[in-house]
Amino acid sequence: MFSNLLKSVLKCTNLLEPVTLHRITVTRGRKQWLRPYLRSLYKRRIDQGPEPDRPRSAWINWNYDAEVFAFGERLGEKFQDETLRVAFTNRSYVEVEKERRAKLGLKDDLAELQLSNNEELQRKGELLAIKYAESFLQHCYPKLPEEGVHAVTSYLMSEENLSHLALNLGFKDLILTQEFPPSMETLSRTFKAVIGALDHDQGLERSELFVQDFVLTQLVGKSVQDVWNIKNPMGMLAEILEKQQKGPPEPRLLWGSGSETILSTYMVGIYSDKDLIGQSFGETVTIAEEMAAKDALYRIFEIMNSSAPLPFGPRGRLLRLDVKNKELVDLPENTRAQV
Amino acid sequence: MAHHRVQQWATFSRLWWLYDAKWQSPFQSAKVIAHYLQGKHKPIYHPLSDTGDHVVVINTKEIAMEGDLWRTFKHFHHTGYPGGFSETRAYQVHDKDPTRILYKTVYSNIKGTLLRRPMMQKLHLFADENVPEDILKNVTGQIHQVMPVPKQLNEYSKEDREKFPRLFDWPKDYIINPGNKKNQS
Repeated sequence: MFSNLLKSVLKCTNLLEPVTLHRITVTRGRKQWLRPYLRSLYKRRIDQGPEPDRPRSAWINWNYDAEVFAFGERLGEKFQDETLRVAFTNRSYVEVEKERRAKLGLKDDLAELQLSNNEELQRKGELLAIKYAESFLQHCYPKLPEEGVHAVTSYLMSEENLSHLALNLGFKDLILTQEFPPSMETLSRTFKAVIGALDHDQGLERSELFVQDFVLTQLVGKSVQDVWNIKNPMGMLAEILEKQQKGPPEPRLLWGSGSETILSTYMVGIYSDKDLIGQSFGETVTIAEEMAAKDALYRIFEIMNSSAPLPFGPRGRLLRLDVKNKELVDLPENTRAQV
Repeated sequence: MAHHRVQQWATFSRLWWLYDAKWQSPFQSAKVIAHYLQGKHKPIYHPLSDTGDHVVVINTKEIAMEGDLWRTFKHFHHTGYPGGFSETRAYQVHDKDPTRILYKTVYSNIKGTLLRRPMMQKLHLFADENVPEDILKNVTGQIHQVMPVPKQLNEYSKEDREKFPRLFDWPKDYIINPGNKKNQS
């Protein structure tokens, strides 16, 4: 037994190698130099300043052809490559490209610049979108007057709205412009140009559905009441009642609470021929009266918050709108394509 | 946008109620008043939210107690010092301050949280119908009385009294009130 034990011990230790003595000392798990080093690195990075804003194309693995193709596929639309490229090309880019090529010494006949800009597509797209939006809104809110339809359309086609859409649909990397990052104006124009491109490639119906799916759906969380700010609601109400040959609007205080306090509340009702046509609250009697007049107008135009939701998706596909005969109302300058 | 603001303002607005305590039981009235002071009549009620309303109570000196409660019902008080306990009967309290009974009853009907004192501040008690004009202007509505107030005989008109069917009538020379006794002059 003892000999076996000795054999196993001898097997473990190699007597030819020198035995190293391990000096066991107490050590810290953390390195004391690490924190100042990291702090120094951080300070150096901060001193250098932020990373400059560069377009995606500045980095490697950027394939513009693939990206343009993918753009169409992502939206579920079949674009023609050329049309889409034209849609993304803005006039400022064409000029810059010409200058750049001139600097590089490329003669015109060797590498002809075959870039046409997107202005025509922009105009087409805008007209199409506005016409369709107005028809859609008039169909959904038949009693809404032209002023209201006009207000909602100009909100939907505003620079803010379209540039927001464009950014979220991945236009920023694909747009060809002089400036970087592309301005809200450029984004909104390019969006309209893409609508025009879709109309050119796929036809009117497909582009109208595109407008329905992307532009008009921005109304989902909002109501016409929020978008259309009626100025002088009482005057408008008086005019409408006169046309309808009903009695003039009479505002009456329904109830009031805490008149002498700062937390006063009043409820005013508007009567016409002794019929209650609208009522609302307010902090003061004047505010309550104005809100009540607005309430009466919302009831007349049938744009209450309790109205049915707008038809999108499968229901939207079933809509048959009379767009061609729709006459356009003059829109303010900020929605028109500026050359 | 403005509609939402105005709608929220109205939802959380503080209302002013009027309650006529004439010939009402203070204990039953206090339940109703406390209900309104806490804001329990509103669907937005929460114990921590300040959703309570103001209540203006008039004619508190005309409250009515059952049986001999005026004599037997006692309000207790302890000054905090030894031998500082005292009990006062309802009629004595009422004589000194006609609003005190209703105040104490409403106070005891509200749960003892930190919001009780602010709620009591929103309770405005008046012994009679003399309410300051600026408080009356605030009032929105009226709370129904808890007990039905019987109509007194003098509140009926002469015609109604004569029309009311009689079983019999005293002869004209019959003396209903004999007046002084024989021995007394």
